[in-house]
Amino acid sequence: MAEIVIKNLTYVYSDESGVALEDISLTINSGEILAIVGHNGSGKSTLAKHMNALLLPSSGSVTVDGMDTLNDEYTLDIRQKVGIVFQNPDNQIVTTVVEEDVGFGPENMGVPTEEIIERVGEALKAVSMSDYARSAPHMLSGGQKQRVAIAGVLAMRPEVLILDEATAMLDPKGRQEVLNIVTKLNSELKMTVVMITQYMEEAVIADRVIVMHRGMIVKDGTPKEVFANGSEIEKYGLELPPMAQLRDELIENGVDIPKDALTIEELNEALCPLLQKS
Amino acid sequence: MMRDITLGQYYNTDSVIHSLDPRTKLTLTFGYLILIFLISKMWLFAFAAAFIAVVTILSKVPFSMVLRSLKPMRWLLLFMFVLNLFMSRSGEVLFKWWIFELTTGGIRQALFMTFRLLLLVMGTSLMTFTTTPIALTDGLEKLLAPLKKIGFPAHELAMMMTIALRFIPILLEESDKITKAQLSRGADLESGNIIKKAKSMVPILVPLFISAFRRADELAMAMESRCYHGDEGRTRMRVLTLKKCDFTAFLVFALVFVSVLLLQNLMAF
Ligand SMILES: Nc1ncnc2c1ncn2[C@@H]1O[C@H](COP(=O)(O)OP(=O)(O)OP(=O)(O)O)[C@@H](O)[C@H]1O
Ligand SMILES: [Mg+2]
Repeated sequence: MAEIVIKNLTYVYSDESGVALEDISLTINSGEILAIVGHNGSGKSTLAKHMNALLLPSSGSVTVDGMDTLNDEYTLDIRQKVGIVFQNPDNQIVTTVVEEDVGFGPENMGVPTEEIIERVGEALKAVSMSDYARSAPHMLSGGQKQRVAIAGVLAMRPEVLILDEATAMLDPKGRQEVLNIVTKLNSELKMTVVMITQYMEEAVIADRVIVMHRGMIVKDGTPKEVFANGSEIEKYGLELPPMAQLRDELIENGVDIPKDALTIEELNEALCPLLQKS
Repeated sequence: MMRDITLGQYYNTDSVIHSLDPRTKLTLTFGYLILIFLISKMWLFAFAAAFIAVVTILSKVPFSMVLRSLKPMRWLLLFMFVLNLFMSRSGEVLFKWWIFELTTGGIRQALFMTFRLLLLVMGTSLMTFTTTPIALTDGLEKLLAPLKKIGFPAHELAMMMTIALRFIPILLEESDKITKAQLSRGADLESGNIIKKAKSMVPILVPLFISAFRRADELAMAMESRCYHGDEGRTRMRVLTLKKCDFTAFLVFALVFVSVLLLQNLMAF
């Protein structure tokens, strides 16, 4: 299984723009859901693009399953193993028919025709878009388009799926659709997921959360650890997830609930007995 | 429902013409164009017209659709007609006024050119009615593939056409949005002379171009991320295969082609 190891990675776009990533070291374990959060321009996308050799380190190294991204013999293998879904679904769908777009990756990999058809069917089924196989992408909703984009990556049978703010342009319904698929892929296919997001409530479902600030990793831990303390997160221009904000306000007002509750369910569990007592 | 503009003129039916390989249709349309240009006797156009009629019936595309495809050409047709009417001066003079001279030869020539154009447009329209643009692109890529050896970018050309088809509706929608945004800021796009109107397009075109470049950049990144590296070692999901009906079509067309040319050369009138 794919493991991404990043060692002392520094990246500079150009001399004027300064350092985009500074001395990043990080190991992404196979099978985990990793959320990356951070203020605009903190380097999240730049980091993601290093994970499948779209960008190459200025110094330091990135390896995927032991394959160094700097070695161009491995480039295609790495990109097959690590797929990225980008923010704007319109700008990553290449052709005018859904199923052909999903087949685009396998076509580039030189997969035989019958197998492409099989993979495309599977991928569309995984994102519940089989009924739209022959549709034109521009006739679909944002959430549907993003699911097609995910299918396009799945058809390459990757081991790591990176979502770079893939839900940012979607409405709440579309966001939920995408999140459900991602968690399903992780639990059923043991796919490693790297989820870059602006929404802290999405980061809560991850196994591990990384906070980036000015090209550096400033926090790395479970959601409970990272979102334990509001003032610390605010230093990096971020807010606590809504439920954690509610939790802190309740605690401030003297309600006795656990200091690490993060989800509606956890709050519910802590609050119901209190309400019944009173 | 909104008409899907990426389908162009495509008119979907389950006909045998629709199921022909795009390469067959491209080649035969090309052959048909050559035939039309080789015909030099007016009455032989009847064969071409009959051929078009038969193909139209087979394709199940309504005749009215095929005729409507001529509508955008009406001014060109009229212009060509009038031009030819007075250009050629042969035969009897029927009418003379100032520098204009109407001759029987002129009438003949004008009718001849008009028929030729009409048949050309109807023939090519039939191809676009029965083939989706994306199938045409695939067909073209395959047909031009041998030219890759001399450095002709067949694959790149087809990829560019595919991407263009994909982004036309997106950019149209976007230009619509930008226009509305500028109008709501009080931009005046309607009044004034041509120069003023052209100037008022600038605030629409500039953001459109900037966005198109950004999109191109992101798309290139997304394609690379999905292992795109030109057509080296690339397989296709949809393979074009010639079927029996393709060979029949070639055979039928060859018969028509040869008999029209034979008639033209053997008959004295
Ligand atoms: N193509 C580029 N050329 C030059 N500088 C760039 C380029 N792309 C990003 N940068 C700079 O690199 C830094 C990190 O950008 P990056 O896109 O990785 O941030 P991000 O965390 O993904 O931000 P966002 O939340 O806005 O997506 C920023 O300062 C940005 O201005
Ligand atoms: Mg980003």
